[in-house]
Amino acid sequence: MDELTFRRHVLADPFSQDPQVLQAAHQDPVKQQFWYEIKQQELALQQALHIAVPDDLADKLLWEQVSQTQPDSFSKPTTPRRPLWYALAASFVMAIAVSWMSFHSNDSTFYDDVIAHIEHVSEHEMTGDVISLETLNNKLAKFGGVINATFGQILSANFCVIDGVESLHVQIGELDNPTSVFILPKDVVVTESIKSSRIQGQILEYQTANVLILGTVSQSFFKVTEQLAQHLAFSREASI
Amino acid sequence: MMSKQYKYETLVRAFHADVYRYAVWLIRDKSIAEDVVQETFLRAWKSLDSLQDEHAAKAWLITILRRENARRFERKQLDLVDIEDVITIDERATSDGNADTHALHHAIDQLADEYKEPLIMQALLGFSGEEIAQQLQLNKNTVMTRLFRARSQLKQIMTQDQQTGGLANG
Repeated sequence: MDELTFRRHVLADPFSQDPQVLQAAHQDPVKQQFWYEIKQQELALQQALHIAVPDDLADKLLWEQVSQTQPDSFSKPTTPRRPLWYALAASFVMAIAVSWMSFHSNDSTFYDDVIAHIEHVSEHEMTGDVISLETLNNKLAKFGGVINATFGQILSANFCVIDGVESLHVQIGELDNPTSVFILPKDVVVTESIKSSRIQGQILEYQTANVLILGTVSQSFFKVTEQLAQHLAFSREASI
Repeated sequence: MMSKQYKYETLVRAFHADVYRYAVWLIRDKSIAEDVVQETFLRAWKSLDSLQDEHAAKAWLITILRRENARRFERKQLDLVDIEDVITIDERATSDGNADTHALHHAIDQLADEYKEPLIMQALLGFSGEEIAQQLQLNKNTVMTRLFRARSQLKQIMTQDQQTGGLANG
């Protein structure tokens, strides 16, 4: 291969695997040196072209799609947020479980499992790493959901099966007093429950999902609920 | 089977960075580029069912982006500005930006569009000669010639800059 043809070839495709080009370089140190320089230039070029991408660009794109292309299903909560129950006991987890079982026997298996999950599993779901908004949105996408802003520390976000229902359990807030958020398919009916002074539970209802929020009465709980209502949306389609 | 929503979100996660980077190089203004990327993905959502080959998804998005950018020019034909006023090299600087990177940005900006476009498609997006030919509606030989000339000029500009810099420093 003559010099000009070789140069044309490697300048058009610096990482060519063409056997003729490889052979020409192997046989001629001058060609080899030229090719090496072009490859170095190409690596620098690739690096220079990799300009920074805004961190939240993917989330913005998803948000725009949900809000602009499906305005009728872009659902803020369809019913007002409402208090569900306020438990009495020192052990809030058990208090909720007992209360639910007493007043809503039909839902007791599901609620038992929610409580059992919080009591036995939730602590192990927290790895100590804060979950990024992108990771959370990747998981919410399975329910057709998207969050467009960060609020509080996301301590965990894991899929779990509760009484046969596939849900996403997200823990937000303080490590020693997290608020649990369960993203549930729409066909899971969660009903109002009893009241107490220490425990708060709220439901956000969307067209394609129900969101169950559980936590002790605290500023953090109110903040999480408020922020979710503002920044969480669901499209019509979910893959579950 | 993957729902349309899930397919779309996978598409966004996988390709938004490349599409955005290409848009910035094509449009030379980050803010406008972001708007055009937004329009691109909204249009992609609307015609997602027409994407049959998922391996061709990136090329499909770039085609949409180029059309959206052309529409922008149709809408704003009279609103012409001097390119040099719109973007500076520093606006595109990478987080670890250094003198060599800036010099390369400067060199890329000096290339004519007909050379710059295929070069960016190959170096940034990893497109083959055939894919670039399809995007630019050229034959493959023309594309390979333009790539050869683009890199020759780039090498020349960089060498000149180094010599000028050397003289200035010397």
